[in-house]
This record gives sequence, C-alpha cells and structure tokens, in this order.
Amino acid sequence: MAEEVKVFGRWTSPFCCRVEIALRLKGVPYEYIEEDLSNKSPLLLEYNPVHKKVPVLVHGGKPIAESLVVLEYIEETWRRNPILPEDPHRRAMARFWTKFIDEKCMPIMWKSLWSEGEMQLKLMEETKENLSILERELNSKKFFGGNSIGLVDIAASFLSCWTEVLQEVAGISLFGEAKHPILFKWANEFMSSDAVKVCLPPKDELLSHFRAMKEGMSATKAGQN
Amino acid sequence: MGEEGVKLYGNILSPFVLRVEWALQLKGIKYEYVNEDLSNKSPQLLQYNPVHKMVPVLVHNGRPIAESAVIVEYIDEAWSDFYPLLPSNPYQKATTRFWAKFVEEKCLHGSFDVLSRVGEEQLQAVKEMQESLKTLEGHLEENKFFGGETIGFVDIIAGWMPSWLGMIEEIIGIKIINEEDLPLISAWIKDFLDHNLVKETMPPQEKVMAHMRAIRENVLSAMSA
Repeated sequence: MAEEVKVFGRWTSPFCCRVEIALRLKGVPYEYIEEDLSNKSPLLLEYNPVHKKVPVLVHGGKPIAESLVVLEYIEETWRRNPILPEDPHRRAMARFWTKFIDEKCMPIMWKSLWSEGEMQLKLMEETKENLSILERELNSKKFFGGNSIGLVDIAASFLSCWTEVLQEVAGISLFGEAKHPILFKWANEFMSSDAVKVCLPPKDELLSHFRAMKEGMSATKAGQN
Repeated sequence: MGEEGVKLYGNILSPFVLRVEWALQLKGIKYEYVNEDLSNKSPQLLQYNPVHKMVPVLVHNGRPIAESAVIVEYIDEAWSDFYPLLPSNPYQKATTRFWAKFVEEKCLHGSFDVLSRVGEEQLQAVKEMQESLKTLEGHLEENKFFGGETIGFVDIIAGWMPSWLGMIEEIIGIKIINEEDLPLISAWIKDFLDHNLVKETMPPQEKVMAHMRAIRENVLSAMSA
C-alpha cells in the first residue's frame, strides 16, 4: 500500500516546480496544495516550522523541506527513472553543479534582475559568466544528466520560463540563443519534455505576477523618497 | 600512468578542509595532504577546481571533487562499509541534510555577519546567530552529538563552530554562546572539542586567530573607504 504524498507549493516558485518535476518523472501520484504566502496555512507552519517556506513534501504524514533535500529523498524513495547516477564520483559531480546553481547562478541572476545602475551591470556580467560555466559543463550532452533528465537539469529549471519572464519584466537580456546557444537549446529540450511541461506555470500569468511585483517594489521605493 | 590513492588539497586556515579530514579519518582512509598557498595557488588546484579555485579538493584515483559538503557525502558513498556518516533510512537522511543546510545557511553566514559588522548591526547579527543556534539545539535533543552517540554528518558540517565561534567572540568582545541560554549546544561544544579526532586535527589557534582578525580588519577598512 503506497503512502500518501502531498506537495505544499506556490505556482510562481521554481523551487516548488523542481519537486513536482521529480515526482512526475518517477510517476509518483501526489496531491498538490497551493499556499498563499501572505497567509500561510497552519499545516505549512506545522510541517516547516524552521523556515515556514514552500516547497514541503509530506510522505505518509512525514514532512521534508528544502527543495534539493526533497529531490534527494524522492530519488532514494522511488527508484524508477533515476535522476542521479550510480557511480559515487558522478553523483558528487551532480551535487557540485546543483550547489553551483543554487548558491551562485540563481541568487546572482535574481539580484541582477532587481538591481539598478552599476551594481546591476556588475551582476549581469557575473550572471552571464555563470551561465557560460554551466554551458561548458553541459557541452554536447542532451541533458546535464546525459540522455535523460537528472538532478542538475531539475535544479536548473529556473532557466526555463522564469528567466524568460524575469528578463522581460526587468528589461534586460541575460540569457538567449545568441549568448548561450547550447544552454538555450537545452532549455527548450527541457521545457518540452513530458514530465516538465505539465509542471511549468503559464507564461502570461507568470509575467503578470512578476510585473505586479516590480510595480509594487517601485511604488515602495517612490514612497520612501 | 593512472593516479592512484587519495589526495587532499588544503590549507590549515580552512575550516572546510577540516571537515574533509574528519570524514577521511573517521573512515580510516589513508590520504596524502597537499598544502596549498592560497596567495599562490598551484596549477594542480586550478586544474582540479577551475570553477571556484578553492580548497578543499579531494582527488581520488585522479578524479577531483570540490565543495566540502559534497566531498564528505562522496567519502560516505565511496567508502560505505565502515563508519556511516549519514543514516541509511531516506527520511532520516533527509533530516540530516536539512540540518546540515541550516548550519551552512544560517550559522555560517550568520557568523560572517557577526564578524564583519559593527555597532547596532553587529548586535542584531549576534541576536540572529543566537536564535539560529537555539533552533539548531532543538535537533540535538538529548544526544551527545548530532549523529547520536558518535560524530555524524551534521557534526562534521557544524564542527567549525566550537573553535571558530570562540575565536570570533574573542575578536569582537561579545559572548555569543551563553551556557544558560544554549545548554545543549554548550554541552555539544565541550564534547566535540574533547573528541580525540578533533583534538588531534585542531589547527594552530594563533594562526587562525590572526587570519580571522585580518578578515575583520579588511572588512572594516573596506567599509570606511
């Protein structure tokens, strides 16, 4: 008898998307619960008292938080369509690149999208360099995981619709076919794969969401001046 | 000719290198230690860790791995028949990884904030650090170590705290860990520093102190520039 799987998430979050992609890839049925982050449910606060954030995976009533921790749990619990190789060194390399994405690529890209002036230019350069580093790692492979989607591909899912939308909202260009052709091709391949496309939020709604966020930030700034 | 054996590229000032040494020694793995002059990095280091150019780097049979937490997990998987560092049960493993991440994100970054700020901001950083340690203390429960009766993954990841936090306290002249407020963490610190492995691998405190003081001075002078 299979134990119940629930995912507490937010449709705008690429971290939550990671968890859903992994579950879909492995054919694990789950119940998705959308959280309003301005009004967090008592269940979420009970399941993730330390960070009070999404995503949280609850398996048979036991909660796990932090998307990368959740991905590794999913991998160890449901063995179908593995997202990590068997070989310890190759597993270590996958974890290395996942860490690079989480600690360097994503936060610096995020900061570059919301900053201004000199700082923004500096962060944009750093972002482009990070993407080039990722691209060199991808090289001629179809996916970071090889022939099939792996942990690193799932960690990099923000490079799909999120990056496209956020660049449009910020009015800057960081990632595109011209600058990173191999990575761009990967993003399209990734986005069109079966397990991924059902998990991605609709682009136009994501655009409205982040446009509203940017307007809210500008209004706050104007109010402070 | 293939490169056999285990090499660790490190530096005595780095608490991250120590993590790897603890893991190797707990598992009884023989290794060659290669000291890196961080102001004049060797071609080998730059070749083995081109992305970050940092220590530690573990090279096992010619294959390099970087990032201390990734290296420690690799050691656990590659030498799995003796002294497990992580639990085998997937849920307990996820819990372990969650707390290791908490230590990295809250405690490690928090301690840098404490070291690099002044005045009110520094006091605020100290308060946040104490809150993080209080949260972490909850995970210790009644155990001697985070790993239970013996040192485990979280102890290794958090193992910089006993000596480095002590040094930070001395440098800034503010007590971060009060025994009445953090009784379990205080007890863990005593037990950890009392462990033979930790005593044997402790770097020369004066050198590390001098290095930490230099870090603080650099940050302060950058602020007033």
